[in-house]
Amino acid sequence: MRSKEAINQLTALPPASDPLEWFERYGDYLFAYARRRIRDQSAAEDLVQETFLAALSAKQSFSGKSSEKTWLTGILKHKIYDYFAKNSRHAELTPEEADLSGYNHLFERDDEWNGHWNDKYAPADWGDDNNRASPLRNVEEDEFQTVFSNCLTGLPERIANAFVMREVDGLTSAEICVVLTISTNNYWTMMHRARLHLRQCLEINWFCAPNGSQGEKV
Amino acid sequence: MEQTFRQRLKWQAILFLARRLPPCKVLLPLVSEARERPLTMREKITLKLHLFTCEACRRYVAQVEKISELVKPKDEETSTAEPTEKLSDDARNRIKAALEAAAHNKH
Repeated sequence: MRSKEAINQLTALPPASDPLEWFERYGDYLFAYARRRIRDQSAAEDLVQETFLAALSAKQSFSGKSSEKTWLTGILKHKIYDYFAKNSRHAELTPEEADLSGYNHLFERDDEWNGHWNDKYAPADWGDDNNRASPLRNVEEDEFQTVFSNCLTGLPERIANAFVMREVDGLTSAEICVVLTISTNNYWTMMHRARLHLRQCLEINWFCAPNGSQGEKV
Repeated sequence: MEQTFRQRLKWQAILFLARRLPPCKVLLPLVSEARERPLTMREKITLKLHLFTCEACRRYVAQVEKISELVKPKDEETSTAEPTEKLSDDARNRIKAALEAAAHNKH
């Protein structure tokens, strides 16, 4: 009995076939993954739980072709999109989502060029040798992710979700419109708002932030 | 002398165009939409001409692209970075219990 246990311990480490072991290894990773996409903490916890339960009942179907982490992430991703779909009850943009007036001041000028960038808010030079704009080292990557998450929370949730699906997960416009049950036009409006907001927020808090500080949140 | 004349000419061209094209506020949605769908010929030309006149919008285009590159996952699978947020003890115990119960029922 003892020796069998010992052998198991020696052989069982890479591919752990026990869902509890999966949970120990990837639970936090999957939770962080869900939290980057879902604001409601308990909803994120529930989805992680559902993911492991699904993994448990589909254990046999795990082919070993992809890593366990990839496989589990795939299950979670589907659960997240289902969750988005369930929570996207308004086919059209809500007044709050469609409201771009919060960005009017970016283009207000006193001279004949009203409607063009106000010099105060126009995109700043991020610098060619700005190391924050080049591929990030691991440490910076963590820091950037935090700043990026903070900037996303400045957007209405569905708009943040649309941006993450598009730019992080690489879904197509058509797929995102299906998940969120929105029209293409509304999707374009969402993405424009997301880019306008994130560019400004990341400029202040990342690209042009004084070193060692994360500046103020927009 | 030659140089300044050409610079002045360019500046006149920029002013001429900028006065006749829609302002940044109206054209910026096209920058975003260009990443989502093929623009019509008319839109493409309008945007190109505007970008010729406007340094701020040229930066905007480049920065939107830069952000898109930076947020792409860098092989999250193999990343050894610590998760940015961890499960609370409560949630951890709850999920463990649910998994144990489910595993038990299965056998």
